[in-house]
Amino acid sequence: MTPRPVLSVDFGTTKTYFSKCPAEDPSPVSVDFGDGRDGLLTAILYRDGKDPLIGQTALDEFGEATTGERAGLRLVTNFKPEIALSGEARTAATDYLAAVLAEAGRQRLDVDPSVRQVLFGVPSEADDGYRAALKRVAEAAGYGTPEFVDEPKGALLYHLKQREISVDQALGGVLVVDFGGGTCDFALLEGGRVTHSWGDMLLGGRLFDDLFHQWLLDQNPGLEEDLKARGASYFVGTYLCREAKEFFSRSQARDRTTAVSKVFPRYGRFTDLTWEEFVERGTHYSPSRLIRQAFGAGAGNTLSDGERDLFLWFRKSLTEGLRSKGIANERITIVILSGGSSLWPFVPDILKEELPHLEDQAILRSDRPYAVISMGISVLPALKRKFARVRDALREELPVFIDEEIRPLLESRCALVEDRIVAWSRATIFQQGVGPVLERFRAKGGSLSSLRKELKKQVTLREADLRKTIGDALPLLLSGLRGEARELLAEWFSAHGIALPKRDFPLSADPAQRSDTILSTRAIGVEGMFDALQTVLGGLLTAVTAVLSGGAGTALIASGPVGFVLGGVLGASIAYLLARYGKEKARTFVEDLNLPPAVAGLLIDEGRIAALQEELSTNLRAHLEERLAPTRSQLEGHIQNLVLDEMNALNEINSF
Amino acid sequence: MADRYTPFGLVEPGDRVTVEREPVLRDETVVSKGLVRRVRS
Ligand SMILES: Nc1ncnc2c1ncn2[C@@H]1O[C@H](COP(=O)(O)OP(=O)(O)OP(=O)(O)O)[C@@H](O)[C@H]1O
Ligand SMILES: [Mg+2]
Repeated sequence: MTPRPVLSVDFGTTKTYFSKCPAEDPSPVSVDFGDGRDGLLTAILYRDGKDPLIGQTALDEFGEATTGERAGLRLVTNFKPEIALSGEARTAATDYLAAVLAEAGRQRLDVDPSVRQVLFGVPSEADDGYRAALKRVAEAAGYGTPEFVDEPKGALLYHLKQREISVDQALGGVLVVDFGGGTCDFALLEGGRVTHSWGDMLLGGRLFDDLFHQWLLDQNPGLEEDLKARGASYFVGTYLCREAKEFFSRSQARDRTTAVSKVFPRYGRFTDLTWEEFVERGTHYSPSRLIRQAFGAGAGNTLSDGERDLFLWFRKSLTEGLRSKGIANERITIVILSGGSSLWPFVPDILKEELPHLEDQAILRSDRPYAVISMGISVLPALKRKFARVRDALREELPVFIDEEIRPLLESRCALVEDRIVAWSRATIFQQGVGPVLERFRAKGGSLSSLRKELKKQVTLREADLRKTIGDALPLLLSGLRGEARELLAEWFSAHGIALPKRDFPLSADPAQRSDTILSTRAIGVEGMFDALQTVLGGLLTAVTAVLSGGAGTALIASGPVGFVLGGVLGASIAYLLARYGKEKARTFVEDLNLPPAVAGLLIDEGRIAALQEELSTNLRAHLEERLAPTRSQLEGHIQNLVLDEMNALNEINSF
Repeated sequence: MADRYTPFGLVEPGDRVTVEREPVLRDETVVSKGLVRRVRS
């Protein structure tokens, strides 16, 4: 069966949001029912002899109606939480959802559930009874048999799709705050699943509408009676005050030092609303009679009168939930703010204060936080398919990526370190140490054994410096490497439309911070470097000794311009020694001979010195290369694991 | 009317309305719609 496009429904207490998404392409759109706002108010107005009205129109029409008109009207709101318990609520929900489809048809909006996979959001606390009731309601309203997705998961999926959360982050501890018009819900997701949820059924944006309504009446004495007389109380109290509230909130989000004024022609004015006064009023808020009546209409929830601190209320909903569920702050790595009321600037402030371990960019909020849940739900099937495709592609491309991108990068990084150490060794050990000793030997002469000692001393003398140089050069391997490798990975991942894992590279050059030792100076094997140096120097001396004691030596000495006489003596002596004591003794004897400068200069000529320097460099490099090879493959392994982890994470998302 | 004003509550053809907010127009196109309410007796 070819996958169908998706219709998702975030069926809310106050508002219901609809989104559509193609089957294969994770690009959801929110359905606009013509008022330019996302979503439809969850309200139905039954009218005698006429079709019911839904959405904002239903509420407004009822609010505006005269007492006479009201006789033929029945407004039902807040039915969503009751569908499992009350037949009346189920009927209202069914009629409402059916009327939405009818309205969509009238507006020629293409939302036809019969050709779509239909997904309904369910609150994380929802039990089987609620799910069963919602299934019945959706079927009866013409949506076919819906599938369910946890609402907070929708928020997570939305930001995942936006690439604001990486796949590995999505599997960590994500706190979703849904602060809407009527309620405030919290959920902790771990591994993409809701592990804890809690909320407050009374704390919502409409309390702030009420605050602004009271503020307006306080600033405009006599307005209340005036509005009542003109039948405009409802219009001003709900609509205009909510608009003023949102306007104030948006302006304060930009700048909390400016005062806001707003004139309603004929209905009074807001003058110089400041953040300070808003905070003062919110701290000492008492619900008006009007809003307490509105709450009374919803079943079960009553708002008592008396003063309360709205900010503290929000803060406590958060902290007491965390405490009672035993959730340590550190379990939370990402916070997603959803719901329209999370646009209040105090919301991220309070979260930052209560979760101080989070960096600013760990708190996410979209521009339209009220719409993210339905959009996120609708994107689920397409996102899963996409991630499955990406996972397969990553698996296939991984060897090539390592071969063509990572390996050359590591090679050039290692070469940089090798160059640095070899260059230092040439400049210091050779040019300042070994070189001058050899020159002095050429100039002054001496015994080979003392030359051997002297050369060894020159190398040992610089051991500490060499260690330091290596210690300084090693970070070169990592500096930049982390950034460059991340860049390569990011490029590769983004070519597949996914964000780079936020999980950091497990690489650090600071030995104190590392548990493994892939980059300790030990890895280089300083002792081995000395061995390499000594071997080369030893080789030089052996060769020189051989020249002195053997065939080629005789020729050299015989033909040498200065050493002719000496050659005769030496040649005879060595031949004698060889015959008398054997090779070993003869060598010791030769090494201890105090050679005159002429002979020394001949034995160790410029060419030999130059060759020695080259040989030293080559040997050092070979040693370093050999020693860095495991480090290199370990780094390669790290990067490979990062990709494998990502593939696993993508797999896990598939079980969402 | 409908393309220039949003109704507050239900407004049906023939209803008398008050204009609560004028639409904002730029070169004959609606930048933001106005708002009308039905006059109730
Ligand atoms: N910029 C803003 N600042 C503060 N509040 C805002 C802002 N924009 C919208 N709101 C408020 O957000 C609320 C609507 O949010 P949302 O649509 O998420 O709620 P809902 O889903 O209908 O409610 P619930 O989830 O409680 O059922 C309203 O109270 C609205 O006034
Ligand atoms: Mg909601």
